[in-house]
Amino acid sequence: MFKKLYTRYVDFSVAKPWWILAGTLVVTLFFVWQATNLALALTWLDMMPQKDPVVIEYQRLIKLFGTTDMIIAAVEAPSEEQVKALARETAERFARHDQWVKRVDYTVDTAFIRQHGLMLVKTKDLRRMKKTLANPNLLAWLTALNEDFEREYIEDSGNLRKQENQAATQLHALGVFVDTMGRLSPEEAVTRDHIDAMVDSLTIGEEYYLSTDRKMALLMIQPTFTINEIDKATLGCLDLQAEADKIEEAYPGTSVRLTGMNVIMKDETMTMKEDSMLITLGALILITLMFIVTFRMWTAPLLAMMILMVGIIWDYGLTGMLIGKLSLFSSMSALILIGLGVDYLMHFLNMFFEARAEGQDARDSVLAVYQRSGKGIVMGALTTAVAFLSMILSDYPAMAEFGVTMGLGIISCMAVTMLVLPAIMILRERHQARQIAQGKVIKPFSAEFKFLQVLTRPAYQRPWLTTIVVIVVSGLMFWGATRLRFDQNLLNIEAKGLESVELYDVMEERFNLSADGLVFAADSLAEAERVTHQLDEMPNVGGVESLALYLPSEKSQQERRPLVKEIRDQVRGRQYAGSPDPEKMKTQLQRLSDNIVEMGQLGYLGGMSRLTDHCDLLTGLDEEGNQARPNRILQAAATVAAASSARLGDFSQRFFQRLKANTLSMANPAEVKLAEVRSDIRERFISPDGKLYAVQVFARKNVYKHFDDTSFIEDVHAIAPGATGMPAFFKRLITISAEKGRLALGIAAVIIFIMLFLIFRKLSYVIIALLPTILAYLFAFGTMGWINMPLSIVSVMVIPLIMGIGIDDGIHLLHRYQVEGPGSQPIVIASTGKAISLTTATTVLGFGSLIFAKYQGMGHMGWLTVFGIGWAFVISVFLIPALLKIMEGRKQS
Amino acid sequence: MKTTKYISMLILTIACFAGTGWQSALAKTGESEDLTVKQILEKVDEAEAAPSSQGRMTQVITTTGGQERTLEMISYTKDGTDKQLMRYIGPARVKGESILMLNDGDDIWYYSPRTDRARKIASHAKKKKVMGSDFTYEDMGSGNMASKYEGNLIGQAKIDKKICYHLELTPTPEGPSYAKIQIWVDQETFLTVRVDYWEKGTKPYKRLLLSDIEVIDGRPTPMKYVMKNLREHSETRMEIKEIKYNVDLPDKLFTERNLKRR
Repeated sequence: MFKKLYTRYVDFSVAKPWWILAGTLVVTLFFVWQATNLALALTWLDMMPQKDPVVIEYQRLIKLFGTTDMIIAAVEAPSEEQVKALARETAERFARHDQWVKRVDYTVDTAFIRQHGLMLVKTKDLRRMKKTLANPNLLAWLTALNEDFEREYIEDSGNLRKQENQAATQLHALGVFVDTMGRLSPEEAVTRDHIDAMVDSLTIGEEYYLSTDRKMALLMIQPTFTINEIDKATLGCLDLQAEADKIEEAYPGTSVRLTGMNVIMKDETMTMKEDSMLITLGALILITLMFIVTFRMWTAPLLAMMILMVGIIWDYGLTGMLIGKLSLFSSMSALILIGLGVDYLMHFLNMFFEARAEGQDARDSVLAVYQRSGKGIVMGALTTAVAFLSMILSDYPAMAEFGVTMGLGIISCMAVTMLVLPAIMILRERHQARQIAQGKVIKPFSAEFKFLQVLTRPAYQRPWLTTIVVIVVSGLMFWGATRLRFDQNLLNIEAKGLESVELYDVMEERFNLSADGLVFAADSLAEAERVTHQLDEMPNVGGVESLALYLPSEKSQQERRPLVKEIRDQVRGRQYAGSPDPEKMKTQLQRLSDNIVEMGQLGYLGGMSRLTDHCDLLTGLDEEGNQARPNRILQAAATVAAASSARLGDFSQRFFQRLKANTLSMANPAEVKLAEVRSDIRERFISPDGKLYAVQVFARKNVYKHFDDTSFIEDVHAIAPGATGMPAFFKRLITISAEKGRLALGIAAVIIFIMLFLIFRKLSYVIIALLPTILAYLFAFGTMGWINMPLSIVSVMVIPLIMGIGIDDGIHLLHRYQVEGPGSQPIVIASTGKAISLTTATTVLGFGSLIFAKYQGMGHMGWLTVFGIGWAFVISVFLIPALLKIMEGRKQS
Repeated sequence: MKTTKYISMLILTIACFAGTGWQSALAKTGESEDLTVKQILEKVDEAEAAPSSQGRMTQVITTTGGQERTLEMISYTKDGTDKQLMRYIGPARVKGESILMLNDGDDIWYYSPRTDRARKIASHAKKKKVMGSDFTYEDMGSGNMASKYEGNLIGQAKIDKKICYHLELTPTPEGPSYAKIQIWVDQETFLTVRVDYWEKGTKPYKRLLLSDIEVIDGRPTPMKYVMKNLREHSETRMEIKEIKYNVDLPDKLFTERNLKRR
């Protein structure tokens, strides 16, 4: 029945080729119209199941608080003063880009702290401060400070870990303290301003977000766009990057670098654009050359492009009718279809030219394609299409949409090839006939891949040896596959040397902070406060920000008020005790030095690098513990001991006055009111309806570098279950993709098995057809294991593709063998083997060109495809003829 | 007929093997029923508390910068865990830093050769972490289980192919600060192979795993200790490199004055 049908169609193609082309045009125009209905949904959010709690919460928070993903600017200059000036300048300049920038945070509101400081301190810390702030006289204060250090940190190194950042800030202020005391030497002058600045540093704290070496400052930029608005994010980040470059140019010796997920995505988009231009061009040139060399047909690349274009239009038209949108995954289908769709054209042309070389005319040559390769082409395409379409059953919209688009695309490309190409070839032949009539000599040409026959002949002549070799190599590959690992550093997919990626590491190293974190919406201020304080004590947390840091809950204010009053009253009653005894001062400073040395040692033993660095800056120790520089505290002790009593008296008196004034100002028991909090802070942390309070938490470690370590997300969720943000979002995306991907792969395997059974009706053939694909996976993973190339989040996406493409090779070979009959291995390899080597070559050239992409994720994808498809081909042409030979032998016996 | 015969034989063979296993399991259960929890804990104390020991061990920590750092120390114990001295010997930066624990961890001193200070740590600090590791001072002095804990036998469990008593224990008034612990004791050696620690809630917050048992001076000794803090997602790995038991250690080694002798 089929034979009758296709013979009639071939005859119709011969009789009315223009009708077919006109019909194709009409259908194509219809699909163009349908494709215009396609909406582009190219965001990460669109890929997630819309009912997923992480997505729902993420979208809710974006609506309430604007974007939760900050852009971070790290500015660096040779000195502390310069870096502060640079931070101010950068903040001002960035704020002018109000199209993209909503707000720039780079300082702490010190005026607010001066007014309400102690009411903002946690109750348990207030109890602690009651002792250290009890007496603002220099000696008494220093003694109390030493006792506090010994009690809080040295006796309990666990506190050091929890409060590493707080201790580090305190150590910096102590550095200012000892350096100011060092000015008591006869050669130097110490002014009231010096002392006031020093006391402010001890009490009010740091105004800027500075690194340990005081040469880098951080600025947090809240953009007007969200991470899902890729176009805006790219334009906005490019604009800010241009501004950063201008600043660097204006201030030589400084650097202004940007990072955050928005910036990384911008870099990703730019790199991919650059890559795709070069790589597509490279791949096209190579494939064109291959067509020309193989078929001696200069128009073949054009023909391929036309067939593929029509196929893709049909695909997008059908997708527009059925789904109505293209997601980030499915938008890549056009690129993949170029690699896959061209295969059907290759099989068609190969068989057509082979028949022509045998001396058949154009009609019979087209008929030969249908007879000898038709079933293989159709079944191969249907199997691949079904593998993709089975993704519908995965219950994951992004994957289902990708599966449908790909499945329809493959069927479309195959249909266009089988329905339109005959008419085109007939027209071409007529054109050539006219040329021949005009005296031009055209020889029928069919390239012979003799090397393939020579290479594979020993394999099917000694089938058992081939099988044993495959078994042994499989064993080695299995061993290699056990060494295969998944690269947990998600940033390794980005281009090498990206500033935004490097800055993630710099932030981890110099600030104990990741550029990304999570956001939680608390339904009351008290809840926001509880979450803030609990998170702040988690070792995996680098920083927490919320309104609770500026406005304590009513309950906390009530709890703290008596303590604040007590501190105020005890300080208010204190009188200046006169100039301290220099020897006693020296003793306390030596004790301070001992405490800081021991804290540094404990920090070293506990692995707290930032704390150790801060201690070492004061004590002059290097990483190995050698006295590399003078101990600044002991230097101050020596200076104080030798200072004149008048100078020490003046110093201590001013110290007393300023410390008392600051403490009294901060020990203000009056209620802290929302109206007093800076408007930008209110806006950042309170929802427009005033009902929800955002708590923003940053990880201590670079979250994307250690993605298998989910402890940060787990810790935050244990305290704030609804917290969401890019790290949680990506974790969910990867979990779902892996789960659903495995399910889809399983379903595809079952469906392919059933289809193969329907095609070949013999279990042995089904197994032989499947074997190359199964072994291709094993060999590809084994190869990667042996050469220590990990799987990445991007490369795993091509795993289903290997099944879809790899299975085709087996189907084509087996189908041809069925047509030709037993003992036909030489002809199967010579003819179909040639065709599949060409289709493999186009796929390998297409995907393989990705190896040269700057975007490393694409490179990983390229390698896995080359290994998978390459091995599927090698195993198919060597193993299938050998296994068929064994089967023949068994039948004969 | 032939097939039926084969199947009958197969069933009989399986039943024989299963029976053997069943009997051996019953024997083990019988053994555990014979021993009370107190007796099991006494046997644990007997197996774990050596009269004295001297060993060299390493501790691997991960710094906040992400690098691994290996610390090396020498440890001395006497009278079980009643007297303990730990002295860091490497890297050079921490050489000589020491911890002295007396009276089963009730009295703790920390000594730093850089400051030449020996500081007595308050007794409430027992539940605090030792040098930023995941071990607390009371974990280090965890001997005398029989007097510190009481509880019941949950059952048996297999850990690393070892059949273990699985006990749930709550501290006695003189016991440590944990709300409860669960321990797994190897029925053969009476060594603890796993401990789960609870503070509150339904999940343990710390887990100690002991492995790589070697017989040294006739005593089975776990050479690897991994303490996992399940809440903070950190872990401290300790490995005994060499150990000697029944060493003649003078009492004066375990004194505050001796701490300062480098």
